Amino acid sequence: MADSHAAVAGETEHPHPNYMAVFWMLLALTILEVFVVYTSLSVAALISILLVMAFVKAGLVAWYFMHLKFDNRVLSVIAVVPLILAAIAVGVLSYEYSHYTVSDTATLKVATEAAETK
Amino acid sequence: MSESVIAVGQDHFNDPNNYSDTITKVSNWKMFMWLFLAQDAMTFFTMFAAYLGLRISQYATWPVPSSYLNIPKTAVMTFILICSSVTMVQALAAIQRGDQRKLRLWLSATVLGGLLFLFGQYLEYSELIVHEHLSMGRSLFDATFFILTSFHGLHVLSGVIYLASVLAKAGRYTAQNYTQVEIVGLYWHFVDLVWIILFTLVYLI
Repeated sequence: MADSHAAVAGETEHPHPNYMAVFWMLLALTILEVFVVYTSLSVAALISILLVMAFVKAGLVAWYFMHLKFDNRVLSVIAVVPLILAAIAVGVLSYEYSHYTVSDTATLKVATEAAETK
Repeated sequence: MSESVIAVGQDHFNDPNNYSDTITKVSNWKMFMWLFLAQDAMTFFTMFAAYLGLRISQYATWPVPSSYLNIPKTAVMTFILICSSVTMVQALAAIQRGDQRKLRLWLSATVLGGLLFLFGQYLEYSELIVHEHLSMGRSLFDATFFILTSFHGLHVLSGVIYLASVLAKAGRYTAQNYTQVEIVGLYWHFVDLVWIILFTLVYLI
């Protein structure tokens, strides 16, 4: 680890973030995520908290490690557009599947089992 | 970095400072990698969307992930991948200072991180298949788990090979010519980023 500190200290001429600070944040969030799973929070609260933490972590990686902060903005646009499309896909599919009735789900199960037996 | 570096000939395309001849002012290499990552992200997120849809449709019978999956062990794998992202940024920082020895050192550490992750995944799969009897055909829980994690694992494997190929050619890179190190880094961080989302969606929630 001594090397990494030396590396951070020695790169003052580059517009680089403190990578180790980002690392500690990622580590802290990961520990917190695992901790939260074993608490007795409600499912809705748990999912919301975990999703927020995951996106903060992903954001840290993209913004600092992948240098989006220091790069041309066109790269940020390229990074964000798939997320918007993905959000639409997740939204539409979740909405669609949440409107399956029990029998529809049963049909889906039958179809799955039929595929299994093949 | 100095803005006055003028590259000619073959190095022209490798010079990270020479953005002037592209419309976007971004080097073609970096632009290509970002576009690749954008389409790869869409592939992953479409799979996540399908996974969430299927899970919602079987909300009542879907098992709690932690009843099958080992969260603490997977958290260690997450930790390894985050560490390998840090060694990757250190490798890039090293070559930006012109330090090839440190570049080799940090890239080797990154490769090692990737290999450790793959070994962890091997242990996890063995345990799940042999002891928990998970299989692709048994349930949608099993099938989505294997498809998502193996697709990511394949990315890690490709990343390890890609990193090793950059490591093998480490002697070519200098403080003025490091674009290839930068874009292998972009790929590697992306693999880490996807794992962060996957870990939450598949293991934690």
